[in-house]
Amino acid sequence: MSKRQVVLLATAFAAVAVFSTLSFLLVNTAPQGKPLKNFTAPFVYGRFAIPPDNPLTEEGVELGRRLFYDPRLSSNNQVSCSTCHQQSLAFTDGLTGSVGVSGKPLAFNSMSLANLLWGPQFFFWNGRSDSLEQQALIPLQHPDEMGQDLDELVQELEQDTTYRQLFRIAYGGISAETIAKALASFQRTLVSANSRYDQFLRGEIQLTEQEEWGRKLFMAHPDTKASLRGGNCIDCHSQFLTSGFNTKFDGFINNGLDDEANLSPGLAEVTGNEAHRGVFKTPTLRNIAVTAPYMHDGRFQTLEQVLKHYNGGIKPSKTLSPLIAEADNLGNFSDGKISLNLREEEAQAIIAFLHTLTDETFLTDPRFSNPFSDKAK
Amino acid sequence: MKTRRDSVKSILLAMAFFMVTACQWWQAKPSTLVLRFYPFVGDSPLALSSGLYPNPGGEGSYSIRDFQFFISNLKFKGKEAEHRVPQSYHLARFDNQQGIYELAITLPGGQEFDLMELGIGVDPEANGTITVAGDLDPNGRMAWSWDVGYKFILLEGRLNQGDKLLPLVYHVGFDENYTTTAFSLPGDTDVLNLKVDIARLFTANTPVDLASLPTVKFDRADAARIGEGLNTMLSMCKDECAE
Repeated sequence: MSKRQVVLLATAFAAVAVFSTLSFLLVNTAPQGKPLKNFTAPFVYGRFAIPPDNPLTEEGVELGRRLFYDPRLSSNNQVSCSTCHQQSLAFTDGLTGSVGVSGKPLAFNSMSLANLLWGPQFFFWNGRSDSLEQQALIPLQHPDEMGQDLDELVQELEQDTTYRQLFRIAYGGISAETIAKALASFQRTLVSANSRYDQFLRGEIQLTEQEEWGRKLFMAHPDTKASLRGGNCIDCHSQFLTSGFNTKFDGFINNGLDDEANLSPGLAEVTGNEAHRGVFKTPTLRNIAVTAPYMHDGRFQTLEQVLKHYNGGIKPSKTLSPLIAEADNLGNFSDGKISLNLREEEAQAIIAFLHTLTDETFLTDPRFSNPFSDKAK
Repeated sequence: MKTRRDSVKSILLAMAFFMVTACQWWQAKPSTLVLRFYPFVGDSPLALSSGLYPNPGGEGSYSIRDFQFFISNLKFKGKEAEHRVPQSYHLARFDNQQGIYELAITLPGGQEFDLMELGIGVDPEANGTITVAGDLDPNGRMAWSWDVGYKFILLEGRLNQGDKLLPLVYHVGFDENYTTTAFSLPGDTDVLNLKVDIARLFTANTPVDLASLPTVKFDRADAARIGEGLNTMLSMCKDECAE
């Protein structure tokens, strides 16, 4: 081999090496923003999972926040996600049934968006969506909610320089899929963890006597044999998150709102299982004092009415949770009338505890507020 | 100067070294043991919600809406070896398509085990903390509250007595009911079938009349009465329970 040949060969090798490195980098450094800094969650909330194909990034979250507050996401450019999910109401809207572009009230109550990384990873009251990404596009297109055509939306957003840039950095471009990813990312950052209950758990404050009584009742299933009085809340609302349980459909139950003849399909619509008729998602109770009205259909206006429901208003049906059917502080559930049989002061104590779940930091956190409002700029 | 014999020697040495390493690598390759838990009520396979089983100590029959329990601290023992499965807290549940609970265990290679030990419930140390380990989840359905600990067994259902429907709730926990049990391992198997006999919870001593004990939660004597059945609830079965 002549010297010249060696040089040529070496150059060829070098060229191939550089080319493959470059293409490797191109393929493997898919557009991605900076990892989100300062994202923290309380230890007591436990594990959470972020989908590997949608990591939390600064740009993704910022994009999601803009989209969340942008009325251009609806067909008439007047309704945004925040219309029905208002921060000051823990991302609910205060209405029995939310109202979107059609003006026709929905059959369901707007659900609070707090601590979505935990609790049932099935979204909507009947659990029909198994990821926040999938969930995000459903109200966007629903004719009574935002009524938006997705192709049109992508075109509309392409006209906006800020969106174009942010989407390019975060995801490489605008598509229905990346819109959903951004909205999901923003919603994952909505962590409520500075209520008085959290401060109590961290050992920073003491609860009042009435709140502490309510906390104990909340955490106890009544057991007359063991002389334990309880509000039975913990049987469905987990002790720290106060949401439904996160495994499978453990966080979905029938809490006795309707009798057999009037049961809505609920979870059965998704699973096709008869035993899931009238079964709905157990919501978080974080900020519950500001998220009236209550229940999946918003039928109760006040927490007093909710307590009254559990204290004598339960309607029996085949799928009613046995934990509710059997929970009775007098221990006489066999007489046919299902009731917790709590005393009035006990119900009041539970309500006082529920008020300790209000998190002013969450309700006013500038990171979650409208980026288009003057104050946020 | 290197002789020809030296070269042969070093080649042989290199080959020997390679073979020993390969053997060690082969031996040390971990293996997987799959535990399959088949739920029964007596001799009938469990059918959640739809199955009806006779009230062990009284009239009527009962159905089971939900059944879950904790298996913990899996340990494998051999003549020279012992292997503790890390973070070994497994919530056995049967609300899946096959209606069985399957647990795959990775065992270190190069060692022989002839005994498997496991706990039913949660050991007192873990039961008294809010540590997140394995399937232990302080916000999960099996958690009571941090000062009470975990339910070891959750069984919810209904007792049918003529027109009367009685809700059944058995949430059994408490440190004193934590039970350990052991099974000898048949050699050379990668699947172990275990029968879970739920009826044992009600028949450890005098058969329980579910109508007179429809719920068990915080009364320690009642919890112990059901808890007594835990040490015979699991048994090895060959293929008969999988049929």
